[in-house]
Amino acid sequence: MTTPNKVNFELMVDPYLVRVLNKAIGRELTAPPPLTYPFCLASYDDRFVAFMSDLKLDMARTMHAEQKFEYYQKLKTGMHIRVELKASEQYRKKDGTLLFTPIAGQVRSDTGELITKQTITLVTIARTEAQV
Amino acid sequence: MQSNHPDLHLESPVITRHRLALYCAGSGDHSPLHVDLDFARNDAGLDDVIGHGMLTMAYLGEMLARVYSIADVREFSVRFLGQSKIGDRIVCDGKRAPNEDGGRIRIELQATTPSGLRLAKGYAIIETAE
Repeated sequence: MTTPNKVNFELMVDPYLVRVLNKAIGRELTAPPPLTYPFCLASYDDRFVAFMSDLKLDMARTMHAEQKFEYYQKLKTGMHIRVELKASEQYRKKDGTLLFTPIAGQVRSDTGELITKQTITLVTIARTEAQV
Repeated sequence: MQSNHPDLHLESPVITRHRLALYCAGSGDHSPLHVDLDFARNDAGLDDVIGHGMLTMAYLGEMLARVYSIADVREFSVRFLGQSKIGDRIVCDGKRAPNEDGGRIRIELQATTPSGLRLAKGYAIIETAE
């Protein structure tokens, strides 16, 4: 099992990336960040990449199992924010073939006000002997 | 207005490779499972790339945002049950739960493909002045 780890970083809700995301979904390009945007924030920072690498997941076999957001304030394009993510203890189901990795996160404004909480649960499907 | 829309529905545009590439760039989810056919086949053992679960959730969110103010959404949660494929549309449905609690309503959510494959289910909690 992986030792729980966490990461903190600051960034801006980038107008260009919000436009690309809106285009992908089929929204107006200038629309505000979608409800799912807090999930996207993590991936933009190198420290998140290192955080995920530390989890040593088999990314070819890893998918999103569950996602939950709690909203306290509206996230706006151009805001400067603080992101915190913390991995919880991993657990297995189905005779150990499914490895679940819960990650809890918070987004705060640059003055510390809570904007969003989220829980990301990833699932990694074990390879069979023939796939190893 | 909200009482006149007890059930919600949205059908996404077609999931194309171009759309998944845009979502990859915009969301920061760069997993090759969603955009690299060689990786999907050779490393993951799939027939083709698969759609992002969070893109499915994004369409559920868009369905909510077309009826309610984003500022009124308090919780939004889903469990992913299946993967969309190239050529699919995401069919989103929301049903208001009968019991409402202190100015908040609960909407049960589900996303499927047109052929009936279940992609996600979940709920949203909306603050309302009703």
